[in-house]
Amino acid sequence: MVNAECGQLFTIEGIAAALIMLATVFIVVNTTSVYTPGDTHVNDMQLEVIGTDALKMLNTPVSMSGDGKSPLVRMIEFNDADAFNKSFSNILNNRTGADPDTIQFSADISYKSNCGATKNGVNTTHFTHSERARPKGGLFGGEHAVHVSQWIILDDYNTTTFKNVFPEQCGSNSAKRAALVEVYLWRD
Amino acid sequence: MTDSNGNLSIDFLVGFTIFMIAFIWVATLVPNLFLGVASHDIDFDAVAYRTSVILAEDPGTSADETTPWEFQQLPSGKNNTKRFGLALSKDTPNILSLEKINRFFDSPASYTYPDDYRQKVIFGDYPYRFNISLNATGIRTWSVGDVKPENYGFARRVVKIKRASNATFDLTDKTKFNLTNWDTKSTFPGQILDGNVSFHKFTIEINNTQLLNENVTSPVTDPNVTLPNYRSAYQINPRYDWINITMIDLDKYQPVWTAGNYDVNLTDIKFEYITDFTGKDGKPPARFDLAPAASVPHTNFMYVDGELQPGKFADNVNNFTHLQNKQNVTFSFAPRFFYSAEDRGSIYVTLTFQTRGFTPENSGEWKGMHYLNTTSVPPWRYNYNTTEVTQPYLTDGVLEVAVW
Repeated sequence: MVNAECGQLFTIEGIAAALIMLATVFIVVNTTSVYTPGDTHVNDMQLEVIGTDALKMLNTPVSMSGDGKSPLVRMIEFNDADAFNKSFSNILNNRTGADPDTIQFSADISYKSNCGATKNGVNTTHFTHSERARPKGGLFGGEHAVHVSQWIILDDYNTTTFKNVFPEQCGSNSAKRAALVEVYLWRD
Repeated sequence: MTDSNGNLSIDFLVGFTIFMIAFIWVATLVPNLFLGVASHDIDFDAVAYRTSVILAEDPGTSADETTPWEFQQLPSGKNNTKRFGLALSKDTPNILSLEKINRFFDSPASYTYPDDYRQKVIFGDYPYRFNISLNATGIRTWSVGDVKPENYGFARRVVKIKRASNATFDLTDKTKFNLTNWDTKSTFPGQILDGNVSFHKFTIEINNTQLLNENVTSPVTDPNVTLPNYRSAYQINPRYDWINITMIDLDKYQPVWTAGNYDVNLTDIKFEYITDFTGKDGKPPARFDLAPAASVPHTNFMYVDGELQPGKFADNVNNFTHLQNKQNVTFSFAPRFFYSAEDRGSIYVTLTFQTRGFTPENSGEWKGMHYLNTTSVPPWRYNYNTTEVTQPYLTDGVLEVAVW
């Protein structure tokens, strides 16, 4: 038998304290929704999936009639940025409901040069951007952008316009060329 | 010892130990509890994404390997569908089949919401609610599921939808397939007689071996080499795809010598197939009658001026007369219409026409006249020649999955 009981914690009190702590934590946690920084990857993933799908579908030929080239390849061979802008925006923001999405983008093209001072170097040139993107392409810096890309194979020389597809090319030959279309996407 | 000040009691030790154990356990538990709260939405997003991947990138599976899930006869074949999937094939992610789309969204006639969809595409033990919608640009929007609440997991996929090939005959083809045995004694030499008979046949050949194994373009193009496995997106599979053939301008086929009186009747349509192109003993390959598949009777395939002619030619006696008064006839053969054929050889659709014109100069005699006729020439071929057949093509679409 202990005579002086000041400052002592008895067994039943320890158990009670533990239960109270558990109950408190349980109640607090279940009445609070916490959005952690790690959760943003879900939004990024959704944007990346849509962007990847949109580029891939734009790089899928509509049919095997004609030259069998995809719309994306034709747009770049003809340097038709307006057509890309319109098609890509439509595909990107299309929804099953009434209101379209508000995804913005900026697109660049990278390819290997075979001529001049930049021979064998990789050139990256701005292709186009959506209406509310930075006027000269690129990003403002405040956007939370994701990056998607698509490799394409195109002709070096456009037999319709009688021009090389990319200026940094020598001669007019019928060679094929690989190019990388890179797009930054963000929600407005 | 009488002075116990400063000693630790057993009670205190036990109580403090329990307290510390509980404290450590709670401290360990807190992050997990937060994760549980945060993952509530994350889980919905993950399930929505998984469902969108299954629908957009997977062709689905069937327990009955001989019959794809979209062609299972319902309701008996419902359990044969193991997993929904709208893609044409495993090699063509995001390119969807219109047949699969129509079957998938056919609720409640074919499938019950939510049970059938939970078992075959949503999966998981939790009874998720969901809404799946698909918009095909310029066609229509399909939807199945509940009205979406305020918060839900979401996934959106950009897709293409394969549209069927089709072919159209016009006056040019009628001229091309005339027989050239002219009646030189006629007042209008070169106009009368096409085989010197009133009944003649026009045969359409659908070459399975060629369509399923040879180049999908004619002339051969150099398609984007990044898509080496996309054959099924552009090929014509006669046993599983729609085959549409339209004959237009029928009312403009009138020959000049008929004095306004002529008659064109379609008296018979015969479906046959061969499995081998080389005959035996010097004879041409044997043709077999093409029996209808159980789920696709050979009945509702003919449209005259856009109007379905139900039951025509089902018994080979119910013909269609006076085509000269019509503008167009369409033969629309549904998927599996030709299922009884094999993935090799050819399918033959033979139309028998009765064509005759009234000749005033020969005392009002009715004589045969030029018309679609392949008696002495090879059949007209439904193939990858873009000048003859409008090839399969892809249209835009968007698929959305919401889960809560």
